Amino acid sequence: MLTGSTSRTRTRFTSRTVFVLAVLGVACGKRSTHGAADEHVLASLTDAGATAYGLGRPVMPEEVRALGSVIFPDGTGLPAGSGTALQGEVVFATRCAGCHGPSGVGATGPRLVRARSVALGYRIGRPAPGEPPATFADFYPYATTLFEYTRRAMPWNEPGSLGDDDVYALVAYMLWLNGLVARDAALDARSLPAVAMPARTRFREEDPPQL
Amino acid sequence: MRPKRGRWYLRPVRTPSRRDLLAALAATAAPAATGRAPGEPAANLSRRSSSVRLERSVDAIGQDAYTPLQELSGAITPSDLHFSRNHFGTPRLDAEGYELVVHGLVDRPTAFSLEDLKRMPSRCATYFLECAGNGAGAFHHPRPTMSPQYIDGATSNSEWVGVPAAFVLRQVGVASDASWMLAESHDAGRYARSIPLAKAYDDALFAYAQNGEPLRAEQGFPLRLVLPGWEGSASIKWLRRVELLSRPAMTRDETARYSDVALDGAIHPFTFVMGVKSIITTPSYPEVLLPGWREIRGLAWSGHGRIARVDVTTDGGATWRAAELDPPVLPKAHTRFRLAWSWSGEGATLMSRALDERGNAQPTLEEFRADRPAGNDYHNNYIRAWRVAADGRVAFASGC
Repeated sequence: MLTGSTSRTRTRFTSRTVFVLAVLGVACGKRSTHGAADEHVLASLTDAGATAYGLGRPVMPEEVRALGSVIFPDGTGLPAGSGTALQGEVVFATRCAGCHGPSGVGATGPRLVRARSVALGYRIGRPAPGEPPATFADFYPYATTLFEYTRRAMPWNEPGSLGDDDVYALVAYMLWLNGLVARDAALDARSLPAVAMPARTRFREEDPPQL
Repeated sequence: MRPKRGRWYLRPVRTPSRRDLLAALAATAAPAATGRAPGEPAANLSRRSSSVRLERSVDAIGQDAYTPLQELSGAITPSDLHFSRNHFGTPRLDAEGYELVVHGLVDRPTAFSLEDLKRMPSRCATYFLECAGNGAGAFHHPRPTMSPQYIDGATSNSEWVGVPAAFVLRQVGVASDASWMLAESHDAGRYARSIPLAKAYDDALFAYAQNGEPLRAEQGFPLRLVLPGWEGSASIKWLRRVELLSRPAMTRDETARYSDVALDGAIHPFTFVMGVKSIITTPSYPEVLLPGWREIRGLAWSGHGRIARVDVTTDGGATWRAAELDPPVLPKAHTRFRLAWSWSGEGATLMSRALDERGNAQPTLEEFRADRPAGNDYHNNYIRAWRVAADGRVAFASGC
């Protein structure tokens, strides 16, 4: 058919055979290429299509636990353990003061204790004109944020190396330095989320995110 | 070819290759007659000319590195000049053994290898990244001796290739009560941010390639999040895990940092979009101009979409003319603008003002100041001005 029959006239081959070929060609094209493209697009748009790819391996619950998870403002995710500001003062002197200065007055690392006057060092807050630079105490909405950050990111040169009791103790010490907890108050997974931070009422996290 | 027996002088020791011939010619060629000699043979990596000096400028503590905007041509930033900011240094990760774990409120917690991710449907698009704090130095302490690199060097523009986050999420099956996605980094401090799921399903990418090659280590090798149009800090590099949540995690870097303080003292944590902005990159500090014709050039961008227009003034704002925009004008990408200008030799003040397709206009410094407290660090997108003195010296003029 493709080569045609010499008994046919040139015109008949051109018109009828080509027409038939064209129809078949379009139909074949639709099944083979257009169909595959449809599936590819579908896969990106539906759960069933995406799942059908069958990629990745299931992770076991113990793997997920080892990865770590979120510590929420309401205390969900806080580990076992406890510490007081008295205990934290000792840990701070050895693990933190090198960067944050004695009693958290600030050095290469940010100041951690509220200033009595215009302070030196790295400014992390957004003070109103005339006010001294803010510290975490003025700007963090939740005490749990201080815990989750200290636990995973501090000390800077050896992040994640503090034990959980030490982290509770350090957080208690930093909060005590800023007048937010008593010196002998034991902070743990139950009491830490209950600490009221001054910046809490300033935060507008319930506002719809600007997309 | 075998020589006939006895003709030992025809027997080759080794057939020379074409490379040998070229090297031999280069080594023995004498420049005496024409002064010309063949150049270097091809190398496996091409290099910049020794007369070209292009570098990122690095801050004192080795945390930030800025793109030399005024030295570049076109809209694409060479990958080794892309800006970067991180808080715990650049980790060096291996592709082998790397996995992205997606877990939390999902039907099927899954670990994806890099090969898995590269087999999935991919998306290739050009987007800018900009640090939320770009321009903070120029806002707080403006000086005439600031170059575009110094003022706004924390923005770059690249072609990114990756798998849409939406596709990965569909594979694991997201629970109906999930509305946020925590993205966490492999950096030493485990930097993490909460991303609204709507953005993940919109145009978020898990990107593995930049400008045609795998991500550079500084830009997040082997995998990073790219959130088109959003502050760079949310486009997590060195992705470690993604956890689906029903509420934001309120990490340190979305509360104490990258949150915006309003005039009434309220703190808004989820202000993601980078506003419409432009800067003239030439003439700029530290150029010295000669009178006559030249082209004013610069870059404009908007996290909301495409640039619609860039107006340029050379008389301090008395008159404005629309600049040419070099195509393609892409959404959430740097757009090059230019305007021919003949400098008379008298003092002149140059500014550019961008407008995006959503109708957002780049604010003046006065409008910006009226809208933000003095301590603002982020989203510094007001109009940048350059002053050309009679001696041709160009100086930064916004707030100086």
